[in-house]
Amino acid sequence: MPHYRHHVLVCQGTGCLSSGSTGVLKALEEQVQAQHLSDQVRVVKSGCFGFCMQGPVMIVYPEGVFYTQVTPQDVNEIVASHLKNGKTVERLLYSDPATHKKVEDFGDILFFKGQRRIVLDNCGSINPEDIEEYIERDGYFALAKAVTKMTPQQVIDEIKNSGLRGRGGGGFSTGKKWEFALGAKGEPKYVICNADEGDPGAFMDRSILEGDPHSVIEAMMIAGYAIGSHQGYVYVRAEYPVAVSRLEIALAQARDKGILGRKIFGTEFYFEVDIRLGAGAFVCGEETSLIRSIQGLRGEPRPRPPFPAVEGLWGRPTLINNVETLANIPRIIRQGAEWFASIGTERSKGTKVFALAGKIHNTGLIEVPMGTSLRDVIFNLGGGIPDGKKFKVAQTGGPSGGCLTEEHLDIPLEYDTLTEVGSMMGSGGLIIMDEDSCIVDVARFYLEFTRDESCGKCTPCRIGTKRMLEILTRITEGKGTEKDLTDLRELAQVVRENSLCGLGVSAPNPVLSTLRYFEEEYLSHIRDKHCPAGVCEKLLSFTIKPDLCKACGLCRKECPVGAIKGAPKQLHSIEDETCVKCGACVSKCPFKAIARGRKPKQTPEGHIDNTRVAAEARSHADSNNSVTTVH
Amino acid sequence: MDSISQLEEIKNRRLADRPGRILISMGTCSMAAGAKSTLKASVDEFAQRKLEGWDIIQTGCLGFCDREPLLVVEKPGQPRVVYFGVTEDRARQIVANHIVNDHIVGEWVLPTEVATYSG
Amino acid sequence: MVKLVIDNLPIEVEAGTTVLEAAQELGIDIPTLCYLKEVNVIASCRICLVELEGHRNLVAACALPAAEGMVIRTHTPHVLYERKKVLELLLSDHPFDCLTCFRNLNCELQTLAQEFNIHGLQWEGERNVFAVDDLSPSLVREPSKCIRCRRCITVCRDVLTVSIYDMQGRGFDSVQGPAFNDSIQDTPCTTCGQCILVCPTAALHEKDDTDKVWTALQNPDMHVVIQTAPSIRVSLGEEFGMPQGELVEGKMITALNRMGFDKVFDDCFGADVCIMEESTELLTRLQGNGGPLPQFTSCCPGWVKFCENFYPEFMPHLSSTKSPQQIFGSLVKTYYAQIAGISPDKIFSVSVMPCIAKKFEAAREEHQDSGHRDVDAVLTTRELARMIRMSGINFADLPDGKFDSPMGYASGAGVIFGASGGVMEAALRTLYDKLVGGEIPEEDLEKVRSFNELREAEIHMGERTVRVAVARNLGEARKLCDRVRNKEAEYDFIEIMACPGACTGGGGQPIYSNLDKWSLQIDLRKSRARGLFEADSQKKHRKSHENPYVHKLYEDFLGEPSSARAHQLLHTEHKARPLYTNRGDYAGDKVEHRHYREEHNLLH
Repeated sequence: MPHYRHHVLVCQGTGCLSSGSTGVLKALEEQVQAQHLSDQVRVVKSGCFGFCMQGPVMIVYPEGVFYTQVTPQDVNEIVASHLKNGKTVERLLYSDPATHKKVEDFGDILFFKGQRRIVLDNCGSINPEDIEEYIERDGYFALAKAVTKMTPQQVIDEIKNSGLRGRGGGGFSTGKKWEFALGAKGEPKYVICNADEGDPGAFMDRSILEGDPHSVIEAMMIAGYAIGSHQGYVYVRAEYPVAVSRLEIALAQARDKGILGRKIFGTEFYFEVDIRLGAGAFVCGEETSLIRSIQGLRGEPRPRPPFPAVEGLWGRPTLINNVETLANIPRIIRQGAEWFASIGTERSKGTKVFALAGKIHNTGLIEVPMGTSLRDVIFNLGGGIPDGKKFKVAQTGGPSGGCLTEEHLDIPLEYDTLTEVGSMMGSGGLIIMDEDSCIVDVARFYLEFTRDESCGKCTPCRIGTKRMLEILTRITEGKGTEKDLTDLRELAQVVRENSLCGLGVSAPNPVLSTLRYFEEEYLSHIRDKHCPAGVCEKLLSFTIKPDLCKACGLCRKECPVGAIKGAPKQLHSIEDETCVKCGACVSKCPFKAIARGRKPKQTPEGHIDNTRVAAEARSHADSNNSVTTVH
Repeated sequence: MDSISQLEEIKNRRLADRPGRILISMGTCSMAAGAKSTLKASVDEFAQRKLEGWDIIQTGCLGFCDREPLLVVEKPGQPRVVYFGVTEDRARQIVANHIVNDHIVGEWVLPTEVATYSG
Repeated sequence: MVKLVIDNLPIEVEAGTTVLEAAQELGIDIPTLCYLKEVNVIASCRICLVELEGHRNLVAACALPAAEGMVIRTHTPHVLYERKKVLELLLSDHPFDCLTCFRNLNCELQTLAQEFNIHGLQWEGERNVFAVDDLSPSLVREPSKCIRCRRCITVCRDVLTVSIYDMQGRGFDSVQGPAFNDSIQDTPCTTCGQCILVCPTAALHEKDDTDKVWTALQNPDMHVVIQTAPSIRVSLGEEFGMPQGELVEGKMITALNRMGFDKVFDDCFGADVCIMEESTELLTRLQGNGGPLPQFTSCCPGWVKFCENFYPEFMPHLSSTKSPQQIFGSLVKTYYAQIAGISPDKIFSVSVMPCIAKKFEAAREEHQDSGHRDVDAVLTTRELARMIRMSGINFADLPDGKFDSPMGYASGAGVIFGASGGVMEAALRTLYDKLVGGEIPEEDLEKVRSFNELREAEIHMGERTVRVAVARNLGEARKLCDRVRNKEAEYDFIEIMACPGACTGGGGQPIYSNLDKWSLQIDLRKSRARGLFEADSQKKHRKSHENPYVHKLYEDFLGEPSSARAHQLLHTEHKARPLYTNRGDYAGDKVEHRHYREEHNLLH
């Protein structure tokens, strides 16, 4: 079987064919023949790359060089320069050459290129169910180093010097946490891995446990050695069955290999890890609730102090670290605090995993150095907003966080900066919204989440989140008043300041931060009874397009509230005041004559402001245009 | 395990004897996207063609949920190639084209300018 | 010791003291709602918030351990604003039916609302409405009035170890209640009523039976008699602003006479009869001719239910003697009816008890040995006080009255039944006299008079040593029972009372809506018990069997203790019961109010 140096893929999709790729293919085949490259270059007809606008398209492997708008005349140059001499024909590259490099490894795929994978390093590269694959990639060497060559204090110093901060949301110094646990009096001590990931849209902990469970086990053992504990628990939600089973397998293998258990690496240190399943309550991610849950009690927080480091599980000193935090530990021990501290920013070291979700091309998990800009994350790694829509807002930290707007695109993603702008790092959920998202609806969504997840123990959170949700619902239904905004602000403040645990304290964040940046949009709902994004159901209006309506009367019969007026052969109309926006008429109409759209803005007197409607229509048309130009 | 040298033994043994590998992402999102069928098809295709010297490995999630199922081919002495959206059918074709014939199926390779593809 | 500064006042307290306690030492009054000293310290209501220097948010003083160098401000305008707003939130989920509420003018939430000058709510919205559970003959649960302070949960779980309550549901919809929101009657609730005493609102209250009594009093054909439990005479005065524990026996009798009761009898007479029977029973057991040892007292209906539910194997150990209330009830409709020449079906027998479990006891199916319902209505101290107030009686100024004959005279032993260790002491006085002769030495009695710990003693009676123990509440009862069950200790006779401090601290006693409620209750129990022992010391007869009226009862009517007739009228059988029954007639889900009062009147 000949070994080809190059594979040249010439697109023979419809798009490229129409722009002349048959000629290109023919020219290429001739040239290869002529230059005696047949046994070195294999020419392949390929399917559509989806890049038709730049056709004809050709890709040369293994470099993965992408040539666009290739003409038969260009083929000579490609063969002479690239295929014979390995020199890329720059002029034919995609108009943005900076983004165009060869596909050689993960690191060169754009999605992975901006990433710096430390905790996700093994994820996707090793078999999580084979401990030897982990060992092959230096797994358990950090543990071996810690227990045989370092004192507990040295381990803690290393972690402290690395500048690692808790990745679960709080951002407290991990080294300090360990030091408190080391200094706490009481036996036995416990190490808990908090894998109760609860933010909607965040799943980095799940991925780590699924892809690299040993790194977490190794880290827990190192932590156990450092603080003098011999028992660890992984508290993981039962909704993560894959993570649980991989963890179980990993634990069994670690025991089999004689790593987990007694006399670890020939020392007197011993350690065991058990799994505790949670039922997935959001509040159980809060450490005191988590502890109660492990103890078999109702998952509810208790006031701190005493902190778990002093009085935790079963009343004993307990160290609780999040999965992502722990996954950093082996690397820090292996490669040193200095190495770790060289990544990231002044006050936020290392990397952070974000879960990209929402209106973004590349949904998924990415790991970037602390301090990477939001713009980089969204537009480079994330591939930008689909359908040519405009970026509106990014929600960080899930229901406990806040929103980042266009003006924040260039701030560095790190703990303190995010807090300063009214958001928070949180566990790393990053939900991207475009211009079609209604900010009031978003705030309402998060409040609904926290209202549902509030345990109900303390007054401000139990009743406050409910009242906030009521006000927000009112506003989205067009029943809000301007006083509601004041009330909402004050209520948010009361809930934030007086709640018992982090859930309540942070629950108002989505409201406060959206109010801070999008007050106008709130006011539009209140004053104009208008939802600019066209999301809020109750603010929609249903209208009949006169040119399409055949006056068949089907919609009139379907309407549950009799809001549609008309008679046979007479143009129908919908009474907006009576309409309950159920949408039944839309699905019934055989002629697609009923339009569902945002209600036009109203002047205070309730009259439709025609100038605004016109402007609206224009801007809508504009955005439609922009869509077509991109495609 | 008594000492660090035992760990090193394992590591060295594995690095010395390195077969070609197919890595298939098998996180929760991957499975939701159909990675189990991808795996089944790959294993089946390897068996039918009696291909030897290859490991087919399930891994955790690579993070690129949008393009799952992902399949990575690590052929000794060759660059690592990541395929996306690997359905059962694509998996069989990748085995035939890439593994057997050394023909990288460019169409399904995670390209450099990912954003322009609509999965 | 740690030093801290509260409102610019320096103070030094022991490590472990909370900021709330430190402030109280300084005389600074921080309002609380969910807090119950040493019992419920969960920082959930957020009313006791204070400013802690260097801390971004306010902190709950009740659960904040004082630490060196802390600087606390308790009443800044900011703190007051936040407290007021939290209170407003709490009120926004509360039914505003204060006028018709059981705890009107005696409600902690109402008091705080007034203190905080609340005259409107900034945030109004949906309120929780839950069905009222009034299926139990003793207590009513109105979850809509619950403020989720959880005192009932903690007291039931930690003090009484019965644990019928927990939070049900989550978040805004959460509410305290029995598992699956079942009716209380389907749980192992002992109906001791301690949850009522600690409830800051009327989410838990006794089932009001005053109307039943008024109806009987109105009926000219009915002969209404009332028996008054020992501890009522030392607590009723408190309802009318009199000092705690003051003996108001005479005034109480006068008030009852004026309200139209035909006869006012003393339940302590029943207690004396109870001792006659119970000590005879014990003696038989000690001699090896009766049931197994130890013998448990059975005069507390809360404890009896607890034993039936949790320790079914102890059924043969429970004394078969009825409680004084039920003894009295069957005697009223037999012995008294015969003497007075009244047909028993024309007698309406009322008891006034410090207890809501007595309502449950009176309603038990088996308690109709007289051929009629032995006791027709049970009032608590609180209900009696309400009736007296309604009658326009100026209680404090009443002249002293005297109990009616023949069931109105009791020995001192009968009176101390209301105090913890009292039943034990009364029994020992008689037993000693029977076995040794004469007065039992005072030092032996000291051993069983207890306020604090579970008491155990060995009392020598001639050649026989009687090993006794006294449990002061159900939590201690559980410890004691487990010890007996596991054969870690052996006893001959055990007194158990359900409520902390026995009947003096019963669930039917006056409720104090003070902030420092629990410790106050302990003091109350002490002063009430002192009152009882004072009454005992004034009595001519100190031993039950010396009571001449008791003698007459046996001579004329019963024969002798443990006779066939005594067995028929004064003894009962105890049966084990399942912990949970699911009768399914109460759905505690959020619905409009549903009342079961009429359909489920277990008394008729």
